[in-house]
Amino acid sequence: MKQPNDDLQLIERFRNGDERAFEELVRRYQRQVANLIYLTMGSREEVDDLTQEVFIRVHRSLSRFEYGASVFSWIYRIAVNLCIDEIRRRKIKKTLSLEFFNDHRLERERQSKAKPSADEHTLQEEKKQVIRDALQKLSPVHRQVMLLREYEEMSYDEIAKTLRISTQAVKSRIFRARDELRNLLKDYFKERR
Amino acid sequence: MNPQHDVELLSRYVDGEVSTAEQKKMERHLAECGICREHLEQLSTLRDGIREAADYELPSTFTSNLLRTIRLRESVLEERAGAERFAWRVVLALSVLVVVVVGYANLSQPEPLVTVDRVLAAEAPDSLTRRVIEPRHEISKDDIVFAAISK
Ligand SMILES: [Zn+2]
Repeated sequence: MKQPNDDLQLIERFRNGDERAFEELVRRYQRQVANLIYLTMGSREEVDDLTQEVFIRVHRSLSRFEYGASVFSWIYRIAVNLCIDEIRRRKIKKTLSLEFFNDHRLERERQSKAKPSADEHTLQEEKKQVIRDALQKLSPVHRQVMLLREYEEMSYDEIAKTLRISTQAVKSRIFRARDELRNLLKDYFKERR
Repeated sequence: MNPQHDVELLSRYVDGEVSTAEQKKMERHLAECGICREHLEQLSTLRDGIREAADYELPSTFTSNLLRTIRLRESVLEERAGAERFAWRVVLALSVLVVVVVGYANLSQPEPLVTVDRVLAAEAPDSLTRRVIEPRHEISKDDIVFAAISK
């Protein structure tokens, strides 16, 4: 991940009372954060709100930011932690309404099989959905490393710092996550050729 | 020639997390192994797929809404802090007032010594026993402040 050199300058400006610096930081990372949340959670529901919450937390703790860390790694860490909390919260909610959820899901699957959908756009959308569904089948820890690596383009070292795990753990998680995804996406690869 | 398909190394290879020696080794292997070339192809397809799947667009009003929300929260917090400061000032002022009033009352009306004269039957008529009951313990400033705070 290419760390914009002036991230730290933005923080310095913010600490000197320049609110525009925070706005710039938000604009720089909002899309990356939103998509990290989107692919982690696997649904568009509440992505705006969760992204907002990430930046509220960033704003609140900006004065305590330690200069040794990289800014994006710190922001993604906040996002990852928020997602973990949210997944836990939704799991509780889901258990409470499991029957409804299953019915709803079956209905959706039935509908998507029913329509022939030939046009290019729909096909493209379906392919993206296949990837998103596959990501959802990974365990949360595998999903995290995969997204930080493939989407956020972070190095193993940066991922290790962000998740506070060893580089060795990053390496093996990425390897296993890829293996799982390759298995889940066999048909996908055939079609892409 | 090269029967070893090192998939772990391949995974690090696509991430550029290899030493120069490992990179050379992998490139040599890839040159002659179709299976690993296909594997590599899949990993890059997977990477492209994930990047394409990240197509979430925030509303154009996101940043301005966020900044407004932050300002709103800050002003609520400030108001709350202001209200707290005010409440403490009131408590402090009341405590001082109580101290002053009680202090003044004590000064202007010193409690009289209660004296009880009693003639003991066995004693001579001129021998009077005088018993003094001490006035109540005076309320200290600390007691008043404590009472005000603990309310
Ligand atoms: Zn091979």
